[in-house]
Amino acid sequence: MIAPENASRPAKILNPVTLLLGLATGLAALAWAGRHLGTVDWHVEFTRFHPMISPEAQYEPTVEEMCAIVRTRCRPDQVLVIVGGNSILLGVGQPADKMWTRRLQDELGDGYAVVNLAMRGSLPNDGGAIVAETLRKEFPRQIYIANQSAFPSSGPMGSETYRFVLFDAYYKGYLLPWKPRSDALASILKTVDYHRYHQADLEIGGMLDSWLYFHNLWNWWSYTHHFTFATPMMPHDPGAHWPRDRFADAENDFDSTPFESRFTPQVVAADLDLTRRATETFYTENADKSWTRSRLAFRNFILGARDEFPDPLKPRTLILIGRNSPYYTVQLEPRIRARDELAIRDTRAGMERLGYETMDYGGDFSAEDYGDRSHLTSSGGAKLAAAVAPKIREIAEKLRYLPQ
Amino acid sequence: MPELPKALLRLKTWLAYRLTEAGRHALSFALGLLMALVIDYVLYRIGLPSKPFIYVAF
Repeated sequence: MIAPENASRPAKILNPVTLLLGLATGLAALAWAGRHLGTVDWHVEFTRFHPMISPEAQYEPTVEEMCAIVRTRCRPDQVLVIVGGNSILLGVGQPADKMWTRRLQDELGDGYAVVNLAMRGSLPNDGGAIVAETLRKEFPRQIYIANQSAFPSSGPMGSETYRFVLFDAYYKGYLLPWKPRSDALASILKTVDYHRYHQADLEIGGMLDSWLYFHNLWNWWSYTHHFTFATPMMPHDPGAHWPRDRFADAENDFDSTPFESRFTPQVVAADLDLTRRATETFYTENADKSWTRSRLAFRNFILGARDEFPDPLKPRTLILIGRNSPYYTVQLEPRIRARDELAIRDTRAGMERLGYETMDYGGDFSAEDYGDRSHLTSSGGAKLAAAVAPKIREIAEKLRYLPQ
Repeated sequence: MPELPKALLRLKTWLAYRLTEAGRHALSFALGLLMALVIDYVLYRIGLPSKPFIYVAF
């Protein structure tokens, strides 16, 4: 033991230069670990983004994490089919072993690999679309599926809830150059409003993450070891800090939920109203009971749909236009049903003119195929898979994905 | 600056007298590593909707 030279004035404990060196080394080592973990698929039992591994439970998957999920599920000789879109394509109300994307995989066979990256409330160009775009060179034989109702389109930026995926890919340079999206991004990045604090956090966080890769590292830790914080949302104690791989995909089964608890009088009244008004603002009724399309609404829809996906990706993008449950639609007057059908035809025609592939579904579905107004039961999911599979094959043929 | 609790102050004084130069570097480096871990974690948490306790929302 060496005593300091001047016993009345003890030496400082810390050396600032060494401290900074430790800090820099630590950040570099963590960044390396985060970057490496981005190439590892830790979602061993992945089925889909069920609530415990989705933003609803404060788990925000990164682009690299989702790409790793795809890589372990698609061989180079298979055509990759990425399913994005919202809770309908996620398969809400369908248990994992009966979810519609499993049926789609069975329908398509071994030549295709179907990966369900849909998320609740997601717009067509959110999460799954960003992953497909990121993998465009690695998996050039790919088809992306998303869904929407007639007319609405999301524009180039997608929804705010899933913007973390867009920023993640943007700052890491994974996106195709696409002027409408670049302009929209530049515009919001220029006008940082710190009162909209979460937006600013995402921007700055996305930029820092492109250097430090902290999201990959802590997501891996949260998934495989320990979730570091409890949230007011799910999961509640005792599972709040459990690693997220302890939670299985325990999706509720519409088929085992009694009809009366799914279709309460309040739900029925609200959903019938929504069904009746679904396309109300897009058409005006003529004296002879025919419908005239609103030019402004259609123009806005086309402009949004044009910017939604980069042009080179439109031909491999299949947009599914869904119908509401016949439980509700049969209660509508025939003229309203005619308007809804017209809206589906106009939406498909408009999107196909822009270069997208489209199809609609639900026309031949029964009330039993729906668990509520818009989500499908397992039987509805099976019908959707049977209808989508030939369209996927058709697109694969058209894009020369299959051996000639 | 608030006064350190007595025990910490004693620890600090003890370390100041007892640590060798190499020990001081080792402690500084280890503290730097720990700071990196904390910064890394805080950056991760700030990106999530549920903010860490150090975070001030306007």
